[in-house]
Amino acid sequence: MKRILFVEDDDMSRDVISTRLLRSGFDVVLAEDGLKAIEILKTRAFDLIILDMSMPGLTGWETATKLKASPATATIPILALSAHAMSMDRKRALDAGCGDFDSKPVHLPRLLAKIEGLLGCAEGQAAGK
Amino acid sequence: MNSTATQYITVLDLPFFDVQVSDTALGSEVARLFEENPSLPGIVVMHEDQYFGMVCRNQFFQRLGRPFGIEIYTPRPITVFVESAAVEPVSLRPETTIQNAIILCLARPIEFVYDPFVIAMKDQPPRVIDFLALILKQTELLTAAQIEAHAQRAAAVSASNAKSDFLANMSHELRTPLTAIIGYSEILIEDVKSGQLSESVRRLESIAKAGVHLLEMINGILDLAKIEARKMDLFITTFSLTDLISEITAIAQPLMKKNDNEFSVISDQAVVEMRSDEAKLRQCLTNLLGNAAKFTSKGRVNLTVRKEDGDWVVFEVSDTGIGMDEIQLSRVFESFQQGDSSISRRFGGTGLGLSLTKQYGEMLGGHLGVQSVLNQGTTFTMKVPMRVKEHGRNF
Repeated sequence: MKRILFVEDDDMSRDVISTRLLRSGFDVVLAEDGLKAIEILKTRAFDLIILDMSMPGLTGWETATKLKASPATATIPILALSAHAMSMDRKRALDAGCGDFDSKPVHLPRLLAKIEGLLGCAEGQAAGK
Repeated sequence: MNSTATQYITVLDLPFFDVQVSDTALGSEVARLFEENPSLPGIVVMHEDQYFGMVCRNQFFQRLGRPFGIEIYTPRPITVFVESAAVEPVSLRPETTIQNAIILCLARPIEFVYDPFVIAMKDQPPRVIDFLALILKQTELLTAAQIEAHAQRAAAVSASNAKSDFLANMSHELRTPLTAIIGYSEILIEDVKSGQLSESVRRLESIAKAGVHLLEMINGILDLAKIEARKMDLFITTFSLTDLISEITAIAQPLMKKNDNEFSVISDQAVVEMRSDEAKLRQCLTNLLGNAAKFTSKGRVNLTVRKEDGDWVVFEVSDTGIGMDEIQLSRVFESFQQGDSSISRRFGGTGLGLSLTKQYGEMLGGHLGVQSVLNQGTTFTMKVPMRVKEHGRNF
């Protein structure tokens, strides 16, 4: 079972999206901000990180930049998930190191396709080594 | 200087000369007048009290410089020169604008284009204007217009950017409750199909909560749009301030208890009656007290009401809450800017309350101010007239 770290500060969004991920067959661990996510990543391995962008404290953009700069976490694909839905928001997330971007409200088939895309990509890289 | 005024500046604003001679004056006298007044561009010739013509300095001396010029023109009346001129001097009405004067003067043949022109005045001697003065005035007006256009453009760009930011923020703020509404609804559909209903009530409550939040936000956006379109009406009545304060206190009490805050109202008994929009005033004060209660925990919130400068009522809402830093303070009245955007999720609220409160304060003829120190507290001061002018600004 693939394990996802889902980082989201809004209680309802965290509850609703994590429920849908669990029901789609993923093992989901929750973090309510970027600093907590970095703490959790020190002790546990993940196949994917789903990251909200506007969060208090460490924002999603800052979190992504930090994770990509650290060798221990740099290879974990990050899917940015944001209620900022303009094209420049997508670019901003990709520039921060995220592998893909999806907007809220979540359209489940689209989100799952993006998750599969990033997981498949990571596996392809691992097999290629 | 604004552009509408620029259009109404006429040739009367130009510096002028009103040296005149009668039509019997000799050329030699005109030559002497020009020599005595080196800056004089032209001399008006009068027939009795009627304008007869104008002698332009350059044309006159050019003519004297021709073979036998001096012999022909100096001993004869100046009318000989005036009547033999190749073109009539331009004569303008006093209400001619600078722009039209430029157009008319530039229409002259090239060799006469620098000549002075005449303003035919009513009940005053005709004025002679140096063409250079007209050009200088036009340059001055164009420069002012250019500076103003630049400022207007900058203001328009900044307003347009603010609107784009507002739309982007609005989209973000609307999407967050929709994430809950759509997501929970889809989960509930699965729950109903599988008969797993244990979590359903909680999820339905979340949908309802997100829906109410969305509605509050849409109402706020519509109110702001109404104010901007000047379609928000004031309903001015005379009401008891004492009653309003006790009403607000009753609304605020439970909010204060939520975060264990002490709440006191200090009211100046000198103000008994107000003539204003009671509902908007109530909304403003409730919002300010609601904010104070929300951002203060185990602290104190005070509402002070007092009369000031004769006809003003000041409402001061001060708290010992989390306060704001300078950046947060600078954006406190902007829409969807609750310090940082995540605060709405921690503290609730639409992010439009202070923006609306400020606008309402201005509609009521007053204003809303704020002072704050991070981690120490915030004071909002709303100053409104005790009696709103009935025929004041129309929103």
